[in-house]
Amino acid sequence: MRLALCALAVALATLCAAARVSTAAGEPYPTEPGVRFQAIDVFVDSPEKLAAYQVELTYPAATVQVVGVEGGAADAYREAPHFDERGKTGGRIVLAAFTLDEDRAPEGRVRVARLHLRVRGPATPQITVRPVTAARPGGDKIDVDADVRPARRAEGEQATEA
Amino acid sequence: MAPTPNDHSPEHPDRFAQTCERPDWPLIDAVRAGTADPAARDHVHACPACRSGLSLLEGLAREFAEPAAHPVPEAVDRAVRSQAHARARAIRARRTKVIRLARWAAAAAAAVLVVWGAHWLAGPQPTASKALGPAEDLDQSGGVDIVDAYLFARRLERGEPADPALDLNDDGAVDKGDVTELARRVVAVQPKET
Repeated sequence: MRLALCALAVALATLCAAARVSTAAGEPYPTEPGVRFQAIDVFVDSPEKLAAYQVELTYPAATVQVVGVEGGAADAYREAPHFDERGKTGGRIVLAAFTLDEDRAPEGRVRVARLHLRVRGPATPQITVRPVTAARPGGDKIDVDADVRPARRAEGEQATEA
Repeated sequence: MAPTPNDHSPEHPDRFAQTCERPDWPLIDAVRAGTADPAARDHVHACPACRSGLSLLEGLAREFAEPAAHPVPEAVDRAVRSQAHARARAIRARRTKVIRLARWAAAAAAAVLVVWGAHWLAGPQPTASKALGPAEDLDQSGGVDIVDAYLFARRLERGEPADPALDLNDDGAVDKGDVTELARRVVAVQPKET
């Protein structure tokens, strides 16, 4: 019994030490050769105040995995949008959010979300975004555009690429 | 005052000079035990009264030193054995009863576990959810999307009466939890079929 407890303690200590080494190296995920981390921003360009949006992104599932979803830059969409965890690996993910605060609903081209990707291989992944629906305050639907681009680090922001 | 023949006290100048009229038992017992001085031992062996006393004491000592040779009567032996057997039977019966109770308790616990497990397996699964229907298509656009969730939340915020069919999480109330549930279903991605 004492021997088993000692073995357990040693195993835990080893695991803790390994975790500390990984953290110290600044590698949040186990890396392998040819794997990098990259962030992309999702923009919606709305001619009117944007009370709700829904977009669909596609990506090559063989080389790309979504490892994180953040909110955007606009106050109304600063929280992470709704999404399905299963969309992180299947090659398709749907993002959607709305705001009931009409005063804070943004207008124009606004960053609504940021995705953190784990990309395997040297090629730039082909990621597309399609607006599914959007609405102005009150619920009337409006036509919007959507696009993605590599994230640019804001001043003082932590690096997202590994 | 003339000393009595039995006066063997150490301070007496001629304590063993005469024959004793009666045995001096403490002196004799000391001689028998070997703790008396040589003069006392010589006196006891020379004095007829003390010598007979010593013989008596030695005989008594032998008698008490030997184990009793009296056999236990058969009736007493039977009674003792009978009582011992009865007591042993009672102890065994008590133990058997406890073991039997423990077995029954274990069996009952196992049965309860089996019934509970079956009930749990057969019960409603929390992941089962209703399919989206016309009630969720609040803007009647022909499809359910985030705009319907937005309109749903807006109605709740304004205190407008809600359709009971919008109790999407089956908690008995139409509230923000149902808005979140609707949004969750809107963004749901079906896993790829392989």
